[in-house]
Amino acid sequence: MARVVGGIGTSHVPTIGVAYDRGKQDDPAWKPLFDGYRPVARWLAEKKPDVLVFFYNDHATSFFFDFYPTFAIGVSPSFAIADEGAGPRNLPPLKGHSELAIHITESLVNDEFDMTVFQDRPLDHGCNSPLSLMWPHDPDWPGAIVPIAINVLQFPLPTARRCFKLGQAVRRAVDSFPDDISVAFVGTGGLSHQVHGERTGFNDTDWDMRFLELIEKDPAQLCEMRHADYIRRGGAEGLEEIMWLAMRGALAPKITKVHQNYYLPFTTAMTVAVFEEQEAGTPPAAGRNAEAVS
Amino acid sequence: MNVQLQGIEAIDGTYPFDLRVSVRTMRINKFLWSMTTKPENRPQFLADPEGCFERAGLTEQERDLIRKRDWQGMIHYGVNFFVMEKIARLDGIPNAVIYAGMRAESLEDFLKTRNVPEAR
Repeated sequence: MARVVGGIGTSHVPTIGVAYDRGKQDDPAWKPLFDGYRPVARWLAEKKPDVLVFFYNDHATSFFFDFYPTFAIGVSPSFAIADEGAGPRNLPPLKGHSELAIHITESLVNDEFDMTVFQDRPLDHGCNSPLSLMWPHDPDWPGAIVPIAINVLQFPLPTARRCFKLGQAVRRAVDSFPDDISVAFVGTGGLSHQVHGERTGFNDTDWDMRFLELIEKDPAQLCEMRHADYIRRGGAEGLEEIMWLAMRGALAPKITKVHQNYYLPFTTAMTVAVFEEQEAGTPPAAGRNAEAVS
Repeated sequence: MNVQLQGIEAIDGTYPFDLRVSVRTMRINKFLWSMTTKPENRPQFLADPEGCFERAGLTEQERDLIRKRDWQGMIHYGVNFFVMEKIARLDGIPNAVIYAGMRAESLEDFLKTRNVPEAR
């Protein structure tokens, strides 16, 4: 049976990848960010998950509005690095895990999450910007990913609660996977930022700290919030925080944060946090469409 | 009205990209997306934008927004930010320039509002 080693919440700002590619690890403007990912890389090196189930969003790169999925899962054995306009980053293609991805899809659909399924679509900075800092990849990635894309671009978006329930359903799927593999869940995006309109540049560190407390200790409160609330508190694109709720839903009710880094240099509150389950292997609330933990 | 967005109108300078906007702006968004994400279209777009506009049947207003790289105007019109920023990648323009443009500020003034202006 698959084992769960924990969860990671991380920003996926594209400039993180650009700074990495330009070797800015010791640049004073970027060092606080890179230093904050070293404990995450150590945690992954120690836990050695075979698969990262990655809740992310595509940025109108591989998916366009002519056919835009609300929830989509990638089942390919590998995924190219997307070319987002300036050429693809010099990273090896990401390895997929078809067997697990197909099992999760079958389980989700039978659990009433009717997923869109994709193959052979490149993955953009929503996946690859944080990954390059967390997972050594020369000459190749140490494990596979199962990408699960969430629509956070074109309203109506799935509600915060729905994202949490998706995470719970993905956990039930992982728990019923017969092979002996280890899995970590990753939720990407946020924290506070807005990058469109005159409100561009909005941040709120008080909200970010509150969000980090609630995601660990009381995600039910986050499930109650409407999209307008997220936009007001964390900025329009800070709404990506609902993808952290999918990661949280996949973890046990009680978790412990073992690492956190927060750095707000420019427009996005770049944040990474690592969570472990207090009682290893405790699954989240059981049952179809289980409610948020109370 | 999408109940999840109730109260959004009270938040200034914010333009939710919903299906009503998306349907209205499909032509320009699809044009920009196909010109930027498909590498084979990029040289043609950069070399002969007017010909590309003509073949795509863009309105004069749409053409002008793209010609001028009018970031603020494109957002007001309903261009999706993540589609729009890909033109800047082709131009080699950093996003900081778009951010300043959307705020109708100079880049210099916008950078003054950031904690670490070098981290862009």
